[in-house]
Amino acid sequence: MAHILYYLWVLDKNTKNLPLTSQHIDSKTVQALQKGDVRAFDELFRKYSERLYLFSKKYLKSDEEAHEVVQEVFLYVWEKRNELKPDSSFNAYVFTIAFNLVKKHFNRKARENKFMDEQLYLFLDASENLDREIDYKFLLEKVERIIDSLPERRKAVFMKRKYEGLPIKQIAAELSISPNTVENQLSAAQKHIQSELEKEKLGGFLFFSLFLAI
Amino acid sequence: MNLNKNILDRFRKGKFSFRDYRSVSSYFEKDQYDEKMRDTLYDDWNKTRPQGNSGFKASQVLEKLHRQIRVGRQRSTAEQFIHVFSRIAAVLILPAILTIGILASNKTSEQNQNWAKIVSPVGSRTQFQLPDGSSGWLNSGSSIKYPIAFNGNRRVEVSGEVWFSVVHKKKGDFKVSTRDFEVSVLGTEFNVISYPDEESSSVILERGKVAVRGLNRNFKAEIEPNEQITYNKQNNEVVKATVDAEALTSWRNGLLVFKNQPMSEIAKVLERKFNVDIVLNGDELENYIFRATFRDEKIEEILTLMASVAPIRYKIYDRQKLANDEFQKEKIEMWLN
Repeated sequence: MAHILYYLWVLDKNTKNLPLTSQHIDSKTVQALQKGDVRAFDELFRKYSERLYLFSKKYLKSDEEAHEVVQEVFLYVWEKRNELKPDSSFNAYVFTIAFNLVKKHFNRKARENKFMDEQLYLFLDASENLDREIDYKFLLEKVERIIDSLPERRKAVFMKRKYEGLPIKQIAAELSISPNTVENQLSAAQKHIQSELEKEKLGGFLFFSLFLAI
Repeated sequence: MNLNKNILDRFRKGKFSFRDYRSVSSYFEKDQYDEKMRDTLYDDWNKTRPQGNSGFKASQVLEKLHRQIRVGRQRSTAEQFIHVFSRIAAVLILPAILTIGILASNKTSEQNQNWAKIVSPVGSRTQFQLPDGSSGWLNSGSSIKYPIAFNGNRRVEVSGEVWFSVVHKKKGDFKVSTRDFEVSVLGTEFNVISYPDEESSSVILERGKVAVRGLNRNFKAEIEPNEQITYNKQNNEVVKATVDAEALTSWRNGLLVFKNQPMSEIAKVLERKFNVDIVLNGDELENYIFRATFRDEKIEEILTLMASVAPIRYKIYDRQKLANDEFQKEKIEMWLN
């Protein structure tokens, strides 16, 4: 909490260039909100929600998650309405909550996609395209589909190793196969994913700026 | 630690490379960038202006928030709690607790597991919560069954209509099985309809992603938000359609929302909700499209309202006593003028 308050204070100092009236209007609305006035809540929602959505979407690249952030921010605002300070900037307060949520969502997604990112990295690095503009979401979906199309057993081995991060020995025990087989399945899966991506590349689908470049 | 603002800029605009993406990821992830990120994003926040046509669904989000904060307020005062309690608890919660108790003590031992069952009697809605934090609503005449040891493999069996809000867990899908299909879920909100005495069963997705696998007929399909997949038990057909998911699942909030639905479907919903039999006379009436929202109205009031906006006549028959001393369901007959 002290952490958040510190940032609010820092941000407050940087907010001086905002039109004073906007802050003044918020302080009255915030006072009403503290009394549990739903209309005041609605007014703050009308004023800030679309900005929150646009802001979150820039970083999360997902319509659904941007909507979720807006909802979570306002739920938090309602639940903590008694801790609000009418005299400090509501704009900065809302930002702080949104920032923490965007960060949380972003990191969660990055962790979940890590095993696919690894495949993308290998592919882009091998084709010297790490610095080329890509349609990241599209590539991710591609990798997901390729992994999904692996033979059942091979896919299970791959997911246990790369997604769940289990040691080879444990995977071997769980699936009653030898550690050697696990390793063979893994490298076969890897090869398959890379060669499928390579095929797509030759088909000319993977890059954004293919025709715009030069 | 310094941020590369050009990278952030490219990322925001959606024109970025894989290396840019990795940098942004580390900016968000690593603590040493936190302060700089806050400052930079705060500038961006203050420059972000509403556009009006951004695709933001303001009214949907606000409506959801209103529901959530209303629930919160009811819980906060003892008075309202007693009010609500006296009205619904006796009907809804008690049967649920009783059935859990009975089933839990009664070893059904399917694979040595104890199962709990929650039943929502005809004419009522019942809210439930599962041990993993997932929750939902059972519609009238529906039930859910789950193993008491509810970890690792999360699977439940349902009959009737059930709305789910499933908590995302890194490991382990959440699986819902009915007589007709199995639904695999990550973290999401969706509605399952599978009444044994009805022609078709379906799944409606509100948020997230689910996969549906047929048990009688072999099919497998993924559905997106605002899609409904329907399996017809009679002709074995599987159909996917775009729907207004929120309207179709609004029953859990005590609302009856019909958005351009034919009378035949509306009658089914009313039959279940009010425990009555409705007879529709003529194909034309069955296909008559209706649009209406009801909240807390009695069946008589709903019929009056419908008759006042559409060329519909109806008659309510008194409940007849049967030979075994039980009463028949109330019967309603309807005609198109």
